[in-house]
Amino acid sequence: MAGRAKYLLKNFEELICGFFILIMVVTVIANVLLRYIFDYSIYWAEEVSTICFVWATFVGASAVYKHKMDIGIDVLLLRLPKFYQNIARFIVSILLLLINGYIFYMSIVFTHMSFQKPTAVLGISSAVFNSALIFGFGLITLHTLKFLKQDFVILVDREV
Amino acid sequence: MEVYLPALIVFILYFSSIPIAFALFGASIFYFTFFDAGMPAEFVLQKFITATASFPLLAIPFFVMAGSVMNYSGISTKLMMMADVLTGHMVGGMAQVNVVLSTFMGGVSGSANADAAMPSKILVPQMEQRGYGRAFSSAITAASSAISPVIPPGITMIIYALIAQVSVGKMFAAGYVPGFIMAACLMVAVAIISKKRGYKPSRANRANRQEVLHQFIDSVWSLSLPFGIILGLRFGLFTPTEAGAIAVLASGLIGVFVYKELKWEHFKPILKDTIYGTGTVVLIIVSASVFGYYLNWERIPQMLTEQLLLFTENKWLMLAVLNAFLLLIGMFLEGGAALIIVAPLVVPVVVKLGVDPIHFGMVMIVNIMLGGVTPPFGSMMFTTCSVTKVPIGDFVKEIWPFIIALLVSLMIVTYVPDLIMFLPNWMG
Repeated sequence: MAGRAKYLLKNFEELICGFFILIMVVTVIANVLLRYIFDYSIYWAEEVSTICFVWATFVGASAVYKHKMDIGIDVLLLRLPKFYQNIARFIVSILLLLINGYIFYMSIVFTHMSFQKPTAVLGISSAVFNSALIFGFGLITLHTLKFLKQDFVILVDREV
Repeated sequence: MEVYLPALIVFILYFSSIPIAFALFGASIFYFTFFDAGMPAEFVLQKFITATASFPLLAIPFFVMAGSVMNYSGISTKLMMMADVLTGHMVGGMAQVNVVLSTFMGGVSGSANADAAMPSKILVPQMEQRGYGRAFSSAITAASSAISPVIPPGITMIIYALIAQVSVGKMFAAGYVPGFIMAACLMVAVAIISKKRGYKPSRANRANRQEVLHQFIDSVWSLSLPFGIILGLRFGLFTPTEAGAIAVLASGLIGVFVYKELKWEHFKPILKDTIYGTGTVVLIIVSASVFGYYLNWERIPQMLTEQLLLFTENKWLMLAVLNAFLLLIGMFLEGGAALIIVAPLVVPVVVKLGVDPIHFGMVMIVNIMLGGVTPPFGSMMFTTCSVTKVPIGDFVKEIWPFIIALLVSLMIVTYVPDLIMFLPNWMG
């Protein structure tokens, strides 16, 4: 039981993202097949698959961030002596916390402000799109905090 | 001058090791918070959503997934064997196989970096075992991975088509010739170096016709999938996004029923590939689009267009100037981000001078990919070196001949437009 909970927590983003990607794939494939075989189109297919895509993107971005798989270059940083490297990493983590935390905060404000606005086809609240930002950047901010703590520990250990 | 501050911030953040997407986000939110962009800062979040909630962009996860399905279906191995029967008998056989494999594969991951990572893991150790230097093997792997994004169904071409508002099908059709030119130039460079160093062929004899035919039949499904997509787009059977979904379905069916290698246990890794591929590439697209909003609001594309047109109205000279500019950008920025930021800036200029946007798209992609393998900051160079553990200094010594080969192909792609355009023009 504890093992399963640990697995769910460890792969939280992947599970959510995988769920949305599967719905997206099935909806689009079903729509094409239905159009050719039965001459029938699912009118909501495009909007539902787009909603899934938005969620897959921002939650997937958090999965990528968690594994530090984002594309960047640390060649200049690696040229610094180890101690300065640790300081630089700590500063970079603070900057990332500022960027991600601020986007997270703004996404809450934005989702709240545009809550009444309906989507084009289904007419439901546009929060169905916008809350993906809160969720994705919320998780990214949490990971940033975790990395910041790690960088801080490394920095302090080094000084001692 | 302060209008250029966000651009400066991107470079500072990027070079202090912040991933490109977050560097672009950081600079953009700085701009929308502290500058007057005609709207409250929170509204920039609307751009995050509008940049993502676009049905054509869905093609990206679909093609990433199709690529992963193909991989687990054993298609990559079959393509490698096909490359081996075609080129294994040449001097430097494995290096030639490396180039031809990149030409067969197509840039389905959406990031040339990811396209470079796979052969770095698989081919470089094999090449090393057969006596090739590790730095040489890494260099040819990085250089040949510049080919994949121009081979259909390369996602970079979809991104360009969306920005420049040209047909995805035509872009795909236009990709083959530049891809083959790049491959041919790299193969010549490989042959010259291999002859000098005595790198042996990977097979004793040239494959006979029967062997080639046998291998061709074995790989025909994977080789013909892109053609099917192009024809489907040409005849309006489906949209590019639907083509991606069909590619997932088709490659899955081929993997299960034809090659019989796709198993239930592959489901999880395929889904993970798609999640990470989508998370990386689409986030870069979103961040670059948000940054593009700042550029547009400050009318930077218009200013750049005016300045460039003041400099020259000769389209060939303009292409030379833009090539130099793009090469510089490609050396510093990741390919996808470079394309999304720069294409809206320069496409209007060349179109005004009578350059076909599809032709220019090819010039741009080939150029940015070349920048990606060029020292000191080419991102594909870092990807390859980090996978193969080759010191950058050693890599730099080996990459030069291939950079020259890719430069030659860039010149052909730029200055012989008829060669590039005959396939898309034939499509009508």
